[in-house]
Amino acid sequence: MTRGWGLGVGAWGMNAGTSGEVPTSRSKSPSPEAPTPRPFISVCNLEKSFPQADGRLYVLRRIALDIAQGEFVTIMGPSGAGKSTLLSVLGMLEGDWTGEYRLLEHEVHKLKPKDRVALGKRYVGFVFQQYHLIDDLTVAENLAIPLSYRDVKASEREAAVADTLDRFGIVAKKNLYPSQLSGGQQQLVGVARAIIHRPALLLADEPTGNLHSTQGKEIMELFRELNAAGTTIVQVTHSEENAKYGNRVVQLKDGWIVT
Amino acid sequence: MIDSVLQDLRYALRTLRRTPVFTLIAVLTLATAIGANTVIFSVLNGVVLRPLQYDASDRLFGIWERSEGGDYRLGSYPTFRDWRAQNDVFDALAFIRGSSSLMPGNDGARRVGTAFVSEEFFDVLRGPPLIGRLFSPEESQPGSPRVAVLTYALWHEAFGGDRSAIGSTIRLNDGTYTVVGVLPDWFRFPSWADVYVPLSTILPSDPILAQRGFHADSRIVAKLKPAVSTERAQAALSAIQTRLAAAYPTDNRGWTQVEFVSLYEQELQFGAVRPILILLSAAVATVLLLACANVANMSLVRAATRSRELAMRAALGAGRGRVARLLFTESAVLVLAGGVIGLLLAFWAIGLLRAAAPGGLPRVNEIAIDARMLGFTALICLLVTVAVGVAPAVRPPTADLSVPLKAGSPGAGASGIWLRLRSALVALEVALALVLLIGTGLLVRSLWALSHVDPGFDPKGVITFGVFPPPRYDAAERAVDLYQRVASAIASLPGAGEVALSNHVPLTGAYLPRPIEVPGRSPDPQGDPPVLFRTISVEYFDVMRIPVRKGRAFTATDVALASRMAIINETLAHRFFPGQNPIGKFVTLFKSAQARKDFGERFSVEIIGVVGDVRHTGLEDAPAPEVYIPYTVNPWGYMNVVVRTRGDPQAVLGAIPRAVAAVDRDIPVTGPQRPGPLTQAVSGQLARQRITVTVLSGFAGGALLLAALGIFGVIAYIVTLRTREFGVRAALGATPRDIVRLVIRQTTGVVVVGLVVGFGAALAVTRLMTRLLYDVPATDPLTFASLTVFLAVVALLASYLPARRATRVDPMIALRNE
Repeated sequence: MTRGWGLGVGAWGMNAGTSGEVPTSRSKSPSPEAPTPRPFISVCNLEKSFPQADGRLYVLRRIALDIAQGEFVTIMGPSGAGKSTLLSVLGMLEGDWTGEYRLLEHEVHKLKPKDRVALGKRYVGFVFQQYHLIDDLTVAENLAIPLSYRDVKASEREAAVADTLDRFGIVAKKNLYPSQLSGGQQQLVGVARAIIHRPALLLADEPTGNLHSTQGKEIMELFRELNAAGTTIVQVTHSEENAKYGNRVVQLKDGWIVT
Repeated sequence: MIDSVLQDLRYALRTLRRTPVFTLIAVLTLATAIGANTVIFSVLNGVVLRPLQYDASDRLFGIWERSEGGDYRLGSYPTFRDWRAQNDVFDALAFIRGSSSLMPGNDGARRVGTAFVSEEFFDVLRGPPLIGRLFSPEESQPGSPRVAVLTYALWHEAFGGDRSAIGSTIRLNDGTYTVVGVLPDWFRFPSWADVYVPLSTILPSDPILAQRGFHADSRIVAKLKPAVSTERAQAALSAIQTRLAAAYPTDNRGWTQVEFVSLYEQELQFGAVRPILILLSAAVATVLLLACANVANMSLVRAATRSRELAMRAALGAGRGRVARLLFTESAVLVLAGGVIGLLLAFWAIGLLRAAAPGGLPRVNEIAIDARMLGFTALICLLVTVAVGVAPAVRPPTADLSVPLKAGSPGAGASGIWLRLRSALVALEVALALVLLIGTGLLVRSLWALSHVDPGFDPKGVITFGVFPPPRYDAAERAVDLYQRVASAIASLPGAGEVALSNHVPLTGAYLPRPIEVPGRSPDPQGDPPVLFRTISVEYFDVMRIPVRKGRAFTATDVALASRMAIINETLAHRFFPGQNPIGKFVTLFKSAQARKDFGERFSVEIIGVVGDVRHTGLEDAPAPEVYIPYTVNPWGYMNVVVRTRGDPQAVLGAIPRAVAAVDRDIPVTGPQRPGPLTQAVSGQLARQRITVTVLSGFAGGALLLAALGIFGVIAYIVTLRTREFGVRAALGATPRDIVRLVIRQTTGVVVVGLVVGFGAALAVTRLMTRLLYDVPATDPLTFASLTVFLAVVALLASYLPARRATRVDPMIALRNE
């Protein structure tokens, strides 16, 4: 993988126009005098469990977590701690949980499943450990998927894909299939796909888990740039190195937040 | 080696037991298809493929007279004698005169079909008797003691299969005959024969045997000399026919040709079963193909979901051959189980079939699962094993067995080749199902058209039965008296309305074509259509609801006085009196009651009326010309009673035997012409089509189900393979509708290809069905279009169900690493 993924973050700032409600300026540490801004994400008493023969198996227990607009939060913990589950709840992929979850002014816990999905489509982008590019689609077609699911017109879609290919420096790869790319290149496309619809919240589950250290570092640099441009990021990782790219770390163990 | 094969077998059994639903569905699918194939091909084998069991059966022919215009007629006895005397091409030539006889027994009299056979008969149709012997040369001479040979069926019915029947006597009408032999169960020619008697027995007394112009109730069969071709034999007989046409112009002018029909063909033609059996065989083979495609598809899915296990085996040292053999063994076990159950089903079904053979199916007794059919079933199983076993057993050459281990995806080891193969199989299934559906649809339309043909009379509420008088009523006057007494007895039954008498009843298979002469019009033996000779009572047209179009019907006086009057139908009026009013005109008829001394005697009648046409010979046949005379003018040797009932016909039906017995207890009311509703005769006309449609509908339904299952299976397979992708798509924002649309789009192409191929194949195949269709073209656009749309809808539904499952894929799956 070559260098040169640098993004023109000024031009690639979080899409205020998408939501209309999201402030465009970052306010990482609001001053005590200023009125306390509403957190971007606020989770309270969140629980997730599965029925078992001898009771219930809790995956998440009484989770309380606020994430401010523009934060870069890292969730860590041993395997089975509930990290990915928490990520999926934040990303509206999970519906079967209890507690309260607010995203900006939206009370997610009160929304119907269909509305939750719609909210997720509006605000969230995902980056997966295994990239999960669609094998039968080219790089450009993979990038277009999220836009097609958001009813973006074909002409606008093409423009956005072209723009993204350019910004990520992968124009030359646009007609290649995932199997023709290296792991790092695939994850680069995965990140590009996750942000092409300009989500306010980027969720990444072990984004460098399948990459060697150099590639991983470059992906993390990319995250840093996106975050600097205004995108709120929540990542799950086992890597202390990667955690350093974030503002704070949330430790999970057996479903509980321990720090 | 044997150890490892046994190990594979044990493992296959265990694996199949662990997936009982798959195993059950696969085994039952195969068992049904193999069983159905075994049954249909057993019928085809017994009825069509197996040669007749007579000696030198390939040299046996039925011979018919043929006119220069291409018409056919049965040969008369004088013509037979000329052929026999003047030919040098046959080893033997035999004549058979058919008649219905009364055979009294302990449980009352029964009607039996009697074949009076010339002395050469058992030389032509040679086969050893089951017990006893055949006729000796002396017994075929006039004045010899009367002897009879029984068919296997009559031996069982009259003697319970007792070997002591040999040497005992039976009575046929007024004669006593000594039983000298019993034939094996396959020997029954003509099909109506129950008992064989030397022709010499009736030679001096039956006037019909002297009539060159009588062309009914006979058969002529011949055995060609070994070195003689049919062409040469036909030429030789045609030469004789030409001489006869010159010598007997009244009867034979224009009839200068002969038609040879191999006895084998003749047996089949009479039942017209060959095209139906071939159609059913093609249909059932199609179902087998579909079943194979389906089980192969299911096995492919299974192999795909087991790719990790198979990769593990490979990683542990199993070579490709060994893995392939394991999968092949599983397929073989499935097919073997299906084959054994299928064979058991076939044994059961053939037993049922023989017990309740559909009407018109010849050689039923020869349908059996013999060594040939066991071999056939074994071959089917072998082919099916290859068909369903090869696909999952053979791995694609580029497949990397380590991939499933790395990726952890159930379908990750599956190749696009196999998905394409599965798609091709589904397209094939759709195509085959469409061909079967359209073929069945055409037959259904044909059956519908046939069931809506107006027979020209109203059979509802009408009961009919035959009265076969014992010999003491041989005199015409006594017969007339008897018929009147029977009619009166029936009329007095509660619920019986009007009662009529008639020599023949439409659609029951009995009719007698006879010549007719119109003064001033020269007869044309070649061009004139045969006229059905009908004798009726006054009430006949009323009872049958046959309308009088012109003139009048008979009066009681006409019948009582045996007035020389006739009523003709519209077809006869049109053919013989085109553009004229036939009322008041005279025609010459010929006495036609067989076994009466005046048989063939000319008499003139005045036409007093014209009635509507009736489809007498068959619903599919155009109405034949008919002439009706009072039954007293030419009293028939037997008579049919036709009763229009009031209320429930069953009540009258039950009372008829007692009423007839009250007139004379020796009159049988059993046998083919026992009391029954006339509607049965009409529906009997549809029996063959109905059975064909029923069986084909079963096959088409099965094909539809298999095709739908195939589509379902492929989509389910795709969903399994792409579970992770659907999860990713959902995580990226795809709605359930997006996912369904994505999945169904994949099927659409396959289904469209199948429909196009099936449509084209149906266009080609249904043309071969033209002979089986009535009043519906083989390319009927409505049938083609509606069934294509129907199958498309079924295909859509079949793909929608698993597609919906795809929408329930948990997007979390995309986040999980394992």
